[in-house]
Amino acid sequence: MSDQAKIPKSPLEDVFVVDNDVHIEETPGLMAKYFEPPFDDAVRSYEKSYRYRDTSGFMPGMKLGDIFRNSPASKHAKRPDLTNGENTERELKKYHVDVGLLFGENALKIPILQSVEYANAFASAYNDYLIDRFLDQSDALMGAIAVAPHDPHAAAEEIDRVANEKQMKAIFLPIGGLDRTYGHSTYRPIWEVASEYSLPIVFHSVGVDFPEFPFNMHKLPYLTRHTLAHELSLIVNCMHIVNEGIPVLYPKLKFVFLEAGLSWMSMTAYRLDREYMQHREQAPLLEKRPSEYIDEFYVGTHPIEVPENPAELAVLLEQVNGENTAVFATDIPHHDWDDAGAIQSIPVSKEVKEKIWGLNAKKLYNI
Amino acid sequence: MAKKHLVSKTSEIPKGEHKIVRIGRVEIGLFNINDKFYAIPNVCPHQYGPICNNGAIKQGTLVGKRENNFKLEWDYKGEIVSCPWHQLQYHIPTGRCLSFPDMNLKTYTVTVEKDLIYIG
Repeated sequence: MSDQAKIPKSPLEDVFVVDNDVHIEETPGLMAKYFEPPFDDAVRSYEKSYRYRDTSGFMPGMKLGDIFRNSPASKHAKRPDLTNGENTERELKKYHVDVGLLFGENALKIPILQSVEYANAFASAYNDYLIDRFLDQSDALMGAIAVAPHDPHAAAEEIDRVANEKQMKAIFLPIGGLDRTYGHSTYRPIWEVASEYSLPIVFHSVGVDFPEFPFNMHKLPYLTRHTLAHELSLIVNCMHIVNEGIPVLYPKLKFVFLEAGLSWMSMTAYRLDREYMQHREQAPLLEKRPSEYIDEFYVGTHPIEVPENPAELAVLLEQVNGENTAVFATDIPHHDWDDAGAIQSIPVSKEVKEKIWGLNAKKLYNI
Repeated sequence: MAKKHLVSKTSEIPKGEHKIVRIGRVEIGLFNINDKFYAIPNVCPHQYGPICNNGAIKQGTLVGKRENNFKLEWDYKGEIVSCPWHQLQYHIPTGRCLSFPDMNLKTYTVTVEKDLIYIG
């Protein structure tokens, strides 16, 4: 029996579905040829002797090979092979996904790289790998341009280099282990070039232990670490860009926050409003309540909350203007992936569900 | 306020100062900003703090205006009062709450006849 036959009929078969968070696999062996010298040879060598080169190798802390490949994920006992566009499109079809927005796995941790040169080289190689092996193979796939936050001018140049690629529909700003959060004025070159190309900014964190807030949690259990790494890092970056008036200075920019569910966003909006009431002078560029800017930010549904009463999900959606800004995401092939059924069970109208499954993203990325 | 109430002599409120006056049970802050007089309620809409009590800070505030390309400026000099409870800032001449426009103060009509100040 094929994998396809095992899956029951889905309410999504006749619905336009965009998956806003699909993770492809990058390994040193596959990516080496996309690096410029000297990193092409260096990365090639990491494929063979990775184990003890953790801090100077391909990507610190990332397990490669069979251990990684065999970890159970999504609907499979074994991790699917998402190393090219054809496989990825085929995989997404099993979930009735029409279009998928792709992210790397190693690329999530670009901020923790010590070498600025290697970080820039990694982002460029990743983008070329994404275009060549995925986007050029499938019209059902979209890319988000990865950048290294270490050097925002180089990041802006990298965006400019690949922004005209038709299927590059967003800019991916990695958060895991980030030093200066994205409200800092040094990031303005990124906002300027993103505005020029009208490309949405997508923030995506990762569970990583690193001596930067909020990733310095090595003494906490994984459950707590993994929860906080995503939620806290989105919260602090969301607050910081609003605090510094980035949506005021760059009104064409759209912001998307992935992988912490919905509830962090309403908490962020409520708390920021309260603080702003008393400390407005520290956010002198704002022209309305912080929550009104946050209402315009997009939020990925994954990993969606599991309240005892599903009606609470409808309340969460309402609190974050989710009818217009929530975008469905699976996070396949990761261990905490969401099925589209997670949206199906929310007590909101069919029209609202269809916006979340695909129509909000269609508008956002101009699909 | 249906009728005019005599509340103070001008000489009692030097430029840059203010005092609390009372009309019936209503407390009002009366401010002299560059020899123009303004009156606002002595109640903050947030949690009903005594916004104009003695010690209320009359200052300017930091703004970044769209029309000035968001360049930071120290503006509204001497026209801002901060509530002593939670530091909410209000623009005295207009009653505008700088954080939340839906929490504005009402303003009273002030007239000066010779050296006498009337509200209402």
